[in-house]
Amino acid sequence: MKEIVISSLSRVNVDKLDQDLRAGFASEYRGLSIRRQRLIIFVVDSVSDVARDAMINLAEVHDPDELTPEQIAERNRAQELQALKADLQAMDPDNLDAAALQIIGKAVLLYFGRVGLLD
Amino acid sequence: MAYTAPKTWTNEPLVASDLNTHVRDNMEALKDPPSSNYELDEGSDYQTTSTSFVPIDSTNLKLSITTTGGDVVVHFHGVFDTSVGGTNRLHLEIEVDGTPLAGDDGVHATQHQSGGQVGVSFTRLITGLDPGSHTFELHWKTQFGTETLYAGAGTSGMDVHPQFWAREVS
Repeated sequence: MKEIVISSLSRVNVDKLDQDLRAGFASEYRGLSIRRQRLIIFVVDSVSDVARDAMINLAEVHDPDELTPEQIAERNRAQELQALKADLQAMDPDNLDAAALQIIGKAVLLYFGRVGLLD
Repeated sequence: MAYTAPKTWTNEPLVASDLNTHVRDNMEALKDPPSSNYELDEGSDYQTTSTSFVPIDSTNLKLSITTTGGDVVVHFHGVFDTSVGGTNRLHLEIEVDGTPLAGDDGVHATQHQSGGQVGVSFTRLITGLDPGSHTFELHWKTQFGTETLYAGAGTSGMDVHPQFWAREVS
């Protein structure tokens, strides 16, 4: 396995760049590492110069603020959780109406969804 | 100070040179065995997405000692995290002189999930090494997603300092 070392990147969204490199170069790309503030791209020994240059280019134009679908889902889940927490804290336990029960139902579903990750 | 196979005395006189070589020098060698260690205190944490073994840091986490032919103990401890929401598996391997020690899925593995930082500590006895210079390099791979090794880089609540060491013990 060969290493391509890129020293010029200040910030990397490792999951996103990894996903993009896997999608574009499945047969030649093997993974990446961050090591002492450098980006290391692992490639097969037989990597072509064209693929190598394209991977470097992809890394250099990489936008660290762009999220993977999993990261977007996680961000949305965190926002939903935050909103639910605020709703639950504002609730009067002695006066639960239909809207309040709906919020409690959402919270319960979210909780079981979270616990389900442990399976 | 190199270790010398101790002399077997018969009936000859005890002379200073023999005592110095076989008693003093060997005591000093046993007190100060070939040893190397590195404690991480880096500018950034380490991360990888590689699903096959790659070096964590070929400079800092690659130790070199010159042994006298005895066994070597290698130890590592550190704290890891993963980006994967479900469970993910981290694998660790030691390359001795450029050759994987265990092969397959390495010398150690642990399962954890995102936000569930896990402390990893293992000790390994390495036997059968010839006298001479040897390297011990820590490698890692992930089942999927991104693995992070906290490296004393100032990450809030995880500014911890892993250590990797190797020492000849016999």
